[in-house]
Amino acid sequence: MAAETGTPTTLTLKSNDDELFSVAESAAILSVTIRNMVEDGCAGGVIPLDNVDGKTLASVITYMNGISAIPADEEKKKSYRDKFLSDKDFETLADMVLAANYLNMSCLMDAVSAKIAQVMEKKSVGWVRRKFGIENDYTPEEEAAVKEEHKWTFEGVETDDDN
Amino acid sequence: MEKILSKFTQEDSIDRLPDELLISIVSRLPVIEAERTNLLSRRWRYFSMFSSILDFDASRVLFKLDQERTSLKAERRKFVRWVNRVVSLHSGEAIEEFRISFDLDKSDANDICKWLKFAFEKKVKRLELNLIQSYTGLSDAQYTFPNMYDSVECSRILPLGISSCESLVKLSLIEVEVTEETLNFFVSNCPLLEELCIIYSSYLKKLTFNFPLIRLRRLEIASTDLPKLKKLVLDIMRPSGYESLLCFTPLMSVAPSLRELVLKLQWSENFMRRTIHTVKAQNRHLGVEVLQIEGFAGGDIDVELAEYVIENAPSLKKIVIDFRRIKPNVFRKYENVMAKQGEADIVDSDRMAIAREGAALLKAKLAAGVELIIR
Repeated sequence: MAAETGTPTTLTLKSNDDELFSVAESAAILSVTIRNMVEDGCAGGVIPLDNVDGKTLASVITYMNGISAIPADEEKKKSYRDKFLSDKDFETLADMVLAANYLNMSCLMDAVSAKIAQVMEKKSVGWVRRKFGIENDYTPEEEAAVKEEHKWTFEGVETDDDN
Repeated sequence: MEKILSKFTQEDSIDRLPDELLISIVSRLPVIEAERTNLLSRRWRYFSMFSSILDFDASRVLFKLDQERTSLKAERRKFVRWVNRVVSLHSGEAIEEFRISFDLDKSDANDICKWLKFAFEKKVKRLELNLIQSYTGLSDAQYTFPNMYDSVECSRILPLGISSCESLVKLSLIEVEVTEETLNFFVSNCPLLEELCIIYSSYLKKLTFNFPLIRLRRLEIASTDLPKLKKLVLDIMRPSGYESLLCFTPLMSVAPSLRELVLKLQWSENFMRRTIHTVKAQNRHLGVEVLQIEGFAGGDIDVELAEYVIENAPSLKKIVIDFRRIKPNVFRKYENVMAKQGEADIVDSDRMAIAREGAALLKAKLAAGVELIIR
């Protein structure tokens, strides 16, 4: 509501486990979901974000503040993103990509997806299954059939060992 | 309240992400890596159809080939089947990259044509055809890129109209025959084009000038879009002296901001002398201010291009001529071993005499105020 005055506005965001966070509107509207709420005039009180928990929201807000403090310099923004994601474990990354999707923040979404893809790259199928908690529900026959289909693709690339 | 609603398995599994997010992740993997995820589980079976980095690089297979032609043929069939399968199943809307790196030849033209059509339909940004030749494939006829000024050939690749190539940012053609007309087509119809790289094209024919065939070995333009191109580097590998670089002049004319032209020549041992061509009736349109020639030999190729620039670039400020050889090639090393010291010196002093003569020729043509720097 204070948007009319032109002075810096602070928004209050509420996570699905009832934690409250204050964040500058200029940083929060990196999220298209939040921006739409602000534009529709329903950001006056507390903005409930039903799909994001407090831990993840805290992290996302750190990102919002960090990236919006950087002037329009794509190189610097990219290196901030790389640094921001560098110490996140896989579970946090999965939470972040869900949150970024829900909040409609394409830059964070792209960066986290790319980061997860980067972890998968050049790893064996067995390693990825273990690391990412994927249960192999193929029958041995089915698995052999899929392997056969990509036989040549895997030649010299694929080593299904444990590292 | 519950944490994030998960319709899938455990908290710590990536499988709690919805399909669209998993697809977004897999789409960022190069196609070979993406295809490997098909094996993870049933759910992951078809995510690779969304890969946006279609890098079909099977060049490593070529090194393992024995020298039987039959095995090259068999591998080619496998490669073509692989690309065709991915192309026919692909479900993403747009692709970042389409790259072919394998020994293919003229006989694969129909398949390559289908792939190019596919790539442009998917608004490809980086397109590379690297039809690297394996030892056994050396005698095969080089593939020719469709002539984009031929409406039939053009519409086979761009059936939705010329504008469907406008997402192109980078075009690389390696060991592919291509005409300068076709390159000009992409230069004029792709406003985002930043990089154009042509390597080992066995000929690049300029039709408006009737010069001998040029053996262009390497042309690389790296900059922002061509109207903004400031620097053009022509890296010419082992010209024999009979070619002409004047075929690049139309390219220079479409780069109004071009200020610096660098020519790097790596000569073959014996270059031929021929008559110097002059291009008449140009309207002094070039904005080039600095011309640099590395490996200047006073041969006809370099003198000819330099003369053209001197004639047509009224704002020329400086010409830098560097006599030093860029790097000795294998043949040169061999010669050094074989020739006695004194003989090698004579060869070098002959060369220097020709080079100095060439430089003097240019100097005589320079307008007052143009600096000539000799290294």
